[in-house]
Amino acid sequence: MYRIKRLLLLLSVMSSMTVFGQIEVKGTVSDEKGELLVGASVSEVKTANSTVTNPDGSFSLTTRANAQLQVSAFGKKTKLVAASSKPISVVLESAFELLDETIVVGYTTKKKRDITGSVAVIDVEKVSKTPFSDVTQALQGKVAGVIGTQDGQPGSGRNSIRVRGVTTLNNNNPLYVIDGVPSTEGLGNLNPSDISSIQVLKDAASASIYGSRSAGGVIVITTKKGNKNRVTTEFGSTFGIQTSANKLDMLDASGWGQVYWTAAQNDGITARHPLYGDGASPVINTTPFVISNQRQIYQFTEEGTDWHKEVYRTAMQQQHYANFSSGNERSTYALGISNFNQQGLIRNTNYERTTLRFNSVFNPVSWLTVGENINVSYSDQTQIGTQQGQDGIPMDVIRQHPLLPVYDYQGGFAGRISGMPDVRNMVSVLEKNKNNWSRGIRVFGNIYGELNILDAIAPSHSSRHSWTARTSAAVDYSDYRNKNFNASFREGDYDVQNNFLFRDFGEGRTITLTNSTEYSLQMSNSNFKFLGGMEAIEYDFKYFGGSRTGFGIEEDYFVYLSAGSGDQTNFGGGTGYGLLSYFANADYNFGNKYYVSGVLRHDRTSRFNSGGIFPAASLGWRISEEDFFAPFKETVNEFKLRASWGQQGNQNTADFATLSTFGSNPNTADYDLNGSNTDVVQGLVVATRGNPNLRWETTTQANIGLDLSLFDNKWTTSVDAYRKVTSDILLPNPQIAAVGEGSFPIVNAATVENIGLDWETSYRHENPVRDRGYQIDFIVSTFKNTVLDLGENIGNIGYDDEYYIDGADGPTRIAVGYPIGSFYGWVADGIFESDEAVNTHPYQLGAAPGRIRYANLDGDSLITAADRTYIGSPYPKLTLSGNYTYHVGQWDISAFAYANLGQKVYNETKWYTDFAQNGNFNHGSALLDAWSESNTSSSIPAPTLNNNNNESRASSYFVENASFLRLRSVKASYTIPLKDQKSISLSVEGQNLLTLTNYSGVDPEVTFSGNANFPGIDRGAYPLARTFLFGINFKM
Amino acid sequence: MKIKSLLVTLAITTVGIILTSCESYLDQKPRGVLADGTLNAEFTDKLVTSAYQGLASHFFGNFESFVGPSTNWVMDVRSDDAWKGGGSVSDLVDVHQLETAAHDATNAVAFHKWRNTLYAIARTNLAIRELNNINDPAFPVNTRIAEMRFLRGVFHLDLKRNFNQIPYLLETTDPLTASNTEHTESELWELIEADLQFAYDNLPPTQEQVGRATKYAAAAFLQKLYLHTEDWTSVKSLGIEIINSSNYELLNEFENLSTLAHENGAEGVFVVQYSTANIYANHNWSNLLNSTSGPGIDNGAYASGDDFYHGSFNLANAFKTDANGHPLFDTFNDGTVVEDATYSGTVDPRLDFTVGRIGIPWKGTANYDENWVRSSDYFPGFSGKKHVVAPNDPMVHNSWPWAASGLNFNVIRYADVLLMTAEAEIELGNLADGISLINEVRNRAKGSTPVAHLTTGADAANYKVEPYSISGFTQSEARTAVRFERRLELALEGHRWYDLLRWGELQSTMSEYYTTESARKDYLEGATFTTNRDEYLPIPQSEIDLAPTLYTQNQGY
Repeated sequence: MYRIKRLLLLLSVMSSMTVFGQIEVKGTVSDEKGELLVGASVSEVKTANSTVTNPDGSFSLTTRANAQLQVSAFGKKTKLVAASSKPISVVLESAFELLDETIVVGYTTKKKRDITGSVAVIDVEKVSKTPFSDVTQALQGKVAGVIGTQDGQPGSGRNSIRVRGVTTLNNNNPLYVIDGVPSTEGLGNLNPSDISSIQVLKDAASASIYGSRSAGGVIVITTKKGNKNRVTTEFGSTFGIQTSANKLDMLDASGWGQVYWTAAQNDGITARHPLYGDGASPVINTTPFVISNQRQIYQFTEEGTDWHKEVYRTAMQQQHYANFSSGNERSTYALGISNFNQQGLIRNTNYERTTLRFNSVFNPVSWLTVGENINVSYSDQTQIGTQQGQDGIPMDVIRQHPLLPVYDYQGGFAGRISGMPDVRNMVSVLEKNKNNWSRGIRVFGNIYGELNILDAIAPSHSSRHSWTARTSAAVDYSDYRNKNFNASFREGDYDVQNNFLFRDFGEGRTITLTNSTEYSLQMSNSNFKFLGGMEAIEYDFKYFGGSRTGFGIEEDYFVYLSAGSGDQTNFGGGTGYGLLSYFANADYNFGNKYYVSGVLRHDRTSRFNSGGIFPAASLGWRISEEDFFAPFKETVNEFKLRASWGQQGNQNTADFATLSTFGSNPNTADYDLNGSNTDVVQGLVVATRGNPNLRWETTTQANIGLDLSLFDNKWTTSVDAYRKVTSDILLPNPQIAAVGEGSFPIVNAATVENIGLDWETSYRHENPVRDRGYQIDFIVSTFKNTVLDLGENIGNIGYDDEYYIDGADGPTRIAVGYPIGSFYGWVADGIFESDEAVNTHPYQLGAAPGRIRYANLDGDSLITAADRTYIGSPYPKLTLSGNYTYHVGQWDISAFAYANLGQKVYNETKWYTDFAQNGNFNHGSALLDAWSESNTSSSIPAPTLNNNNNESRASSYFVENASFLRLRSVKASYTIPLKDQKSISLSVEGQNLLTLTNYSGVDPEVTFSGNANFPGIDRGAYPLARTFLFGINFKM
Repeated sequence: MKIKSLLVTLAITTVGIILTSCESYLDQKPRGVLADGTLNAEFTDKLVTSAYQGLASHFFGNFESFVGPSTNWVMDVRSDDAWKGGGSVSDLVDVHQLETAAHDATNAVAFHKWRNTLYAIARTNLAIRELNNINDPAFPVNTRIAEMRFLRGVFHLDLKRNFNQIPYLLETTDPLTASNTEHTESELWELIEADLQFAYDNLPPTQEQVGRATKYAAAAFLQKLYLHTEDWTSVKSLGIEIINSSNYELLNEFENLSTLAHENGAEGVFVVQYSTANIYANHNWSNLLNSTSGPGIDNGAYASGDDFYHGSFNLANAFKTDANGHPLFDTFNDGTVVEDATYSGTVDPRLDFTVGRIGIPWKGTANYDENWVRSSDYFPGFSGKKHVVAPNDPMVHNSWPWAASGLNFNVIRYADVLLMTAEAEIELGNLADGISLINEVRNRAKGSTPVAHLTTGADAANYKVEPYSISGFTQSEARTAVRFERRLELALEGHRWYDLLRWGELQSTMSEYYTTESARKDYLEGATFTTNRDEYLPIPQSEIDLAPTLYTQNQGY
């Protein structure tokens, strides 16, 4: 390659020497808007030959016939053009494009330079030349203060986005505004290649115009639109191969026996095990044998089954998309279709998404715009069994016994026999239930009209005024339908002949009506803009379903509810809410130097009886526009200080929490009044107890920030510091029994504080002469989360929604003075080395040499529950990310890495990897090198068969520092330019190639706890995929 | 120009219409449930039904109905009548704390008893509030209100005798301001009396639906109340009215009290209705832990019973009789224990209807055996018999929930009415009238077919029970006789503790019981009864934590 380049260079040098003649190049230089540029410099590359443009923007220069001309002007990006004998017209783009960029903010657009709040912009098309497979990927690590978490399970919808910390004990998801329509649904069913740009509204000044749903931040998404007078066609495909990025090192069959014998020896008992005999050492019987119920023949092997290999696979993914757009002076159209198909790493699982997007914009007359956006998506996935969590397949892969063969001697599925844990053969589960599916349709769209009132009624009005009105009606419909069939199985000891079919269907529909009007006035030195509007939202949701047992044939064609012969159930219900809002926003600036802006939103909701007002105000000062700053202006191109304060709301609670409701409940309400002895009379009981005084959670946020651009805008940076206090957090309030039964009423109780700092900076260098350039983006953010108050009668909130290993108490608390979901338990401060060490320690039930020592924190003579303390926070102290892009010629190369530092993970998989007292589950290979009298340096406690020391208790033994640095993506693409801006690009990308961490679990980032308020618990997560992607993209 | 103006006007008008129509978005109704103020007569009647369900104490799941039931079996365990049983000392440790008087204010039984009863009271008040809104002349509003006030009185009575200092919750009371010290003891009795009296005045003598309260049920509960206030005249007059109604009689066979076939029979004055309709709720959960873990008799019904609730040595011995077939009032607990079939002395036949004894047939199926006792290390094995049906009954569950059935629970049965009336007569000095009422009860015991040997058909033990001679009693002797009769007849039916409480015999009885019983098995060793504390349960600490200014803790806790 290098050689060819040198050859080319040589040729070009030679050709420049053998000059045949010179030509006169004539042309004009203009900016993007077509305004001609005066005094722009036009020079022949590598010579002193140059000129400047005339007052009419024209130039004339005599050059060699094959010369390259460099055209530059102040405030514009330099451009290279080839000399030509025909007149050329050069368009220079603004170097201040970032500042001039138009940003979609609350119900209007603003220029970046005029923004006084904290807003981050991601130009998706610029970030990547080939589309992402998931929209949240585009956000991850790109915006300071936004933490995105990926989840390996395709289509799980659990890729979470958190904007500036964790503001509530309820739902922390941001509000999405897609083409002007607010939506609380996730982004999972959006086609990433449809997206043109994403804006994140982080502070109250930017977000509070969205009122009662904005406390989690607002993410504005704009989809691609057609261009006037340009037909574009883009299509392409991506193909990928995914493999599991990491695996835990578990024991094989003979290792398991070895650990068991050691454990029995440590316990002072004679080792015997149904699978390994009762000899002096464990013996695996490798001859075929009939299992005790005479149904199957098994044959064991010394190494046993590698369940990781049996369950996970190399999975394929592919994505195909096509986007078409066209337009003329009066209208534009855009059409996009896509199909994305991703196999799960777990065999037989799959996620497929097909989308269709259409939008058009019409200008029937100059003062009227009407248009619509329509997005349709269909998803179809097969997820078998539980794919995450305590009983999920990933956890079973870790803990299934290695001696269990996948198949019996005759080829049928094998299942547990005496001596094995109560875990089903996962291969059988995945094979027998592979026809399960979950399907969903989402139709999302709006129609809108924009009226330029002044243009309509007074066409000759001064251009200093503008008065427009906009109306939009949107529908967001989504449904889901599931088929879940549990086939019968007779494997080993299991004999479950009762199969079970579950089917359900639910649909939700949101209607959003928005009307707004905007007036702006530009005067010589000051600019004024007023926006006012209203929004009405109605949500309605209904579901029903049924189940049946007793299917004589288990083939997919037969398994329909009516075909079953056994027990059947049905159920159904619904809910809904309405929201009616008015909002206003006024902006004023003086000389583009001093900015002041105010927002007021009034919301009413069917969820609460009283309305809420959400105000915000912000100030901005562009110091760089001051006269006294002129001397520095060459170096410091932009220097802006910003300050804002405002309030945002959160209404995420039950739809009818203000009302007390009654419902039937066969388990607590029915009574046999007739004395029938076999029947009951239906009763009615209080279902929920309402609190008529409920109101919104309010997040009050103050933000100060500065924006800097240096050295011809090559270096830009912005820093924001914020403090968010969320008060009136909605929590269930425990009641005295005298009040009666029913769910606890929701009250406005807790207060949570987030203090944080976001810093983002980027440096860009372009060398147009050599056609290369690079850009480095670097982001640092940090926040500190503290629960300030939990409200009257509400004590520390524990992990009560899920059970924890071995039935012990949950490891997390929400408590005043600590971050939400802090880990709580005993401090494991080592392993007892000797009897003497046990005796000198305060009394700890079950203590013995080789056992975990728990610290005595309360100073008494016993280790008790009083010795528990806070043992870590799941939130990173610092998140960093860096993106590097480099282009030379037709090559684009990028690398993206990020790091989370200082966060802790509560690793429950350690119960399997580090302990032998979990019964017949499998253990980690680390146990082969566990503590013993001759190996006292080991950090793994000695194997034992009893849990006398209660080591499953929540303790710091399970808490690990899960700091990591991950190379998320490395990508290279080559673009073959064709005529008329057409091109073909080829790309290759590796994802999750490298992770540096000391965390011992599967992945420090992929954790699963099942409850969003208790993050950072690794309870058997879906493994992260390492993916290689190959893409091809045509722009025609 | 005109068209444009028209368009603009049209647009603004449209927006205006949308603005006003959107108000309706805020008008949302909950789906599939009913909100306050939307109930008609039919749904209000369902609130009444669920208030009755409060008797079954199945509010949140099974545990609560085990440990805080209206059967009050746990209170028998507290008394000298029963041991906890179960898998070990610490199995249901909260119950063990109570039987050894080692409980504190965090005891789960106290909490569940408190909560179950208050929840049930809240159901009655909710029903009354909604009943007051019904204008349907065809609907028996007044009867239903009387039923609800009956239940409210019954629940408050149960709460009062367990917790002493309680709030009284009327349908108009704000529970958040109802302190447990705002009423004196006599005021509380008066409030309960007012509810029961209203029920008595307004309820019909019989109800079409057998599960509903009647006038005589109210009369019997008024009797129960007046036992506590020692208003003997009223106890007597109400008793005579119930007796004279001829609505009730004693069943011929004592053992039929524990059979499904004779449920709601002539002896049931107020009965909690259980049903097999839904194993998660309507079975007799409150006694569900209380079946032996006997190795499956016949169809295996008791195969894995939890085996709680055993009679004590003391209780078994109380059934000893002398040569006249009369109890050994003073010496019953001396000498040989009535432990198993080898005991050769005479016993009251009710012994073997009440508890299992090793070697004695169990409800005509098999001999009760040591293997049926889940933890014979701790417990002698007097598994309770009254609250389970025969293992070969076709209506009994032979898988989980083990031994569950629809067997009802008699809160008050006719024998209780007779003995309450007898006690009143004796306290009023009408000794002969009192003794003859006791004799009615004893004669039924005598007339019942005793437990028979499985193969020979001979009596399984040396049974002897005889009525007393009407004359020759002093008042004190007669009092002893009626109190002893209550113990024998109503053993393991949840009455003992409250009887001892109102007789002022808790301190003496429990102290002696702890001493003599722990000499036989060390299970109760170290237990001490503390006067002015252990008579009542503590107000649950969690309730005081939630309402520190509302509730005052009971004496001694």
